[in-house]
Order: sequence, then C-alpha cells, then structure tokens
Amino acid sequence: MIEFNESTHTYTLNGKVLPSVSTILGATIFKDKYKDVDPYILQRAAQFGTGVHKAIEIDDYFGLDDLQYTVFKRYKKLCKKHDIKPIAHEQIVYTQDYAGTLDMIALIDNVNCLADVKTTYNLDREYLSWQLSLYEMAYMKLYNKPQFDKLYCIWLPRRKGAELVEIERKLPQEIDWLLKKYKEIIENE
Amino acid sequence: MNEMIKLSGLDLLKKEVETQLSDFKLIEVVDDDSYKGAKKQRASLNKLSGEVDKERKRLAKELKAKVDDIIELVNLPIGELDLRTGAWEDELKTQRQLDINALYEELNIPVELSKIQNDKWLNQTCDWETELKTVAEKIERDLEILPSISDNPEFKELYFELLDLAVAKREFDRKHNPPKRNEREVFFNATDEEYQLVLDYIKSLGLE
Repeated sequence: MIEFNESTHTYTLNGKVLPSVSTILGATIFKDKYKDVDPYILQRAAQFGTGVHKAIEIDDYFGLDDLQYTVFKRYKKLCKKHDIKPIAHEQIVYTQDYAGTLDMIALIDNVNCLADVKTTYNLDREYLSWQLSLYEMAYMKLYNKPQFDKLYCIWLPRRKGAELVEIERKLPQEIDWLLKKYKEIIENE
Repeated sequence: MNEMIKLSGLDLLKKEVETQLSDFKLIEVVDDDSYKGAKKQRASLNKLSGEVDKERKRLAKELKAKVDDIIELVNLPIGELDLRTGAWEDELKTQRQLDINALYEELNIPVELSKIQNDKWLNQTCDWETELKTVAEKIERDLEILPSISDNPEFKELYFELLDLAVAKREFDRKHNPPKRNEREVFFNATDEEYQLVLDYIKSLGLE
C-alpha cells in the first residue's frame, strides 16, 4: 500500500521510502535545474502553480487570485479548442523503484493521453519527456495497461497564452539507465 | 522642444475667407432658378474650401520636408553609432564563437558543432555555456544507452543524424519493420480502398 506524506513530500510503499520522480531527476540529469533561481521566487512560482493545479483538479476557480483566474480561464479555452476531457487528476503511481503523482489522464482530441500542467515561463521539454515517461511507465506496470496514445504538456505560462505541447516519450532502455544511475548515486553517497 | 514650430499667416487666411463669405447671401430655394443659383453657390463654396485645403496640403508638404531635414541631422549620428556598436557587437559575436569553439573542443563532443549550435548562443544575454554543456551531457548519456537499444551501426548513424534516441529508434523501426498488412489485405493483396471497390462491384451485380 502506497502512502504519501504531504508535509515531507515522501512516498512510502510497505514501509519502504520510495524516491519521487522529481527527486530522481534532480539527483541525476537535472542537478542544476534551479541552482541560479532565487528560492523566494521558486516558492512564489510553486504557490502560483499549486493554485492553478488545484483549480484544474476541482474544475473551479474558487480561491484563485486574479492572475491565477486568468490562467485558469485560458486553460478552459484550451480545453474547448482541443476537446480535452480529463478522466483522472493527481493520481499517485509507483513501481518498486520510484513513485510520483501524475497531473492528468485525459481524452484529448479523442485519444487517451497523459498530461502534465506547467505554469513556468520556459518549457523544458527534456525534463517533461523524462517526467511523463516515468509516470507512464509506473502507470503501465501498476495497472497492467498499454502505453498512452500521446504525452502532452498543458502549458499555461503566467504572462500570456496557453498551449498544448506534445512531448516525446523516452525509451524503456533510457528509463532503465536513469534508474540504474540513480541507484549508483545513492549507493555512493 | 515643445511648440518650437509656430504657424503664421493663419489669421490672415481666416480673415480673407471671412471677407469672401461676408459677401455671400445664401439663396432661398423656392423654384428652379433659385435651385440653380443655390447649386452655383455650393460650387463656389466648394472651390473656396478646396483652395484652403490646397494651402493646408502645400504647408504640410513644406513642413514635412523641412522637419525631415532636421530629423536627418539626428539620423546621421544615429547611423554612425549603429555602425560602431554593430561593429563592436560583431566583434563580441566573433569572440563568443571562439569561446564556443574552445569549449566544444574541450568537451570532446562527437557531433559536429554546426549540428548542435543554436543561433541564440551568440546573443549577449544567452547562457550558451550551460546550454552547450547540457547538449554534451545528453549526447554522452545517449551514447551510453544506445548499445542497449540496438548494436546495429545503422541505428548509431541515425542517432547522430537525429540526436534523439526515441526519434532515431522510431525511424530505424520504420525502415526495418514496415507496418504489416492485415490478413485481409494480404489475402486480397489489396488496399482498403481497392477492397471496398471490389465489394461495391459485387454489390452492383446484385450478389451478396
């Protein structure tokens, strides 16, 4: 049984702590991703994103500030444009090696998709590719399901616009390599 | 520079127009003759209005030409400064390209620089160093993973061309394992369209 401690952001499976997808990526390929960003700005950005994520999950703008509300409206418009029909939100997925919380499973233009919502100024496709591929892999193993038809990022930058960006999937061999690399790093710590 | 240009003579022009208008007595239109007279008056006033407007256009043209001359005085040093800053920027770009080349050599990346360099790396605000190192790390990582995907040299070649393992794998599979035709297609050796045509023909013969 998987458990998630929100205050420490820790996943535990049958008493064993599992690294999160962001922990694995932050320890391996994306070590310096936010090294030059002011922690205060990071925290503000996270708060902003959390609010928008929550609104998307409950499909209601209650409690949003003006800018978050504007972004949420852009999201709704994007849903109409691409016929985005969410099926599940904020679902925890895990394997014996890692865990994470995927943002959204949805029918997009009538195909089964896995999507992640980003409110960042720049879009890091490489990071998204790893992140979504890891979620997908865990989801497939957990529910014995085939691949999603497509992986997407629902990009809602604060300043303007909203975009649906298709993300390239990593190969299983790449994911195996990443998990092995992470184990090596942890063992050498 | 507010209100340094003043127009003179407008009052005179206004007076002149007012004088001409004072001689005008607007005709009451009651019959054919007065109708024709009113039309004639309208034509005269049109002519007067046209003359005033013609004067405005002449003035505007003259003013534009004179002001353009003044602006040109300012544009000359602007152009000169652009040339000088442009030359300096070119020098900075040349220097930056040399720095990029040096780091590229140092990182020993097995892919031509032209294949990985982004045009924006030459912009002063761009953190090209981080970007180049990220690309180098990705290629190094990919080459470490590559043998676990395929040991076919053609796959490696494709990777070097496309610089993405997943994209290269898709392209490799497409070349080596073309999509299989389903049983019906194999049996009839026909495409969906051809198969439908045959069905339609059979139907048109009244056969099931």
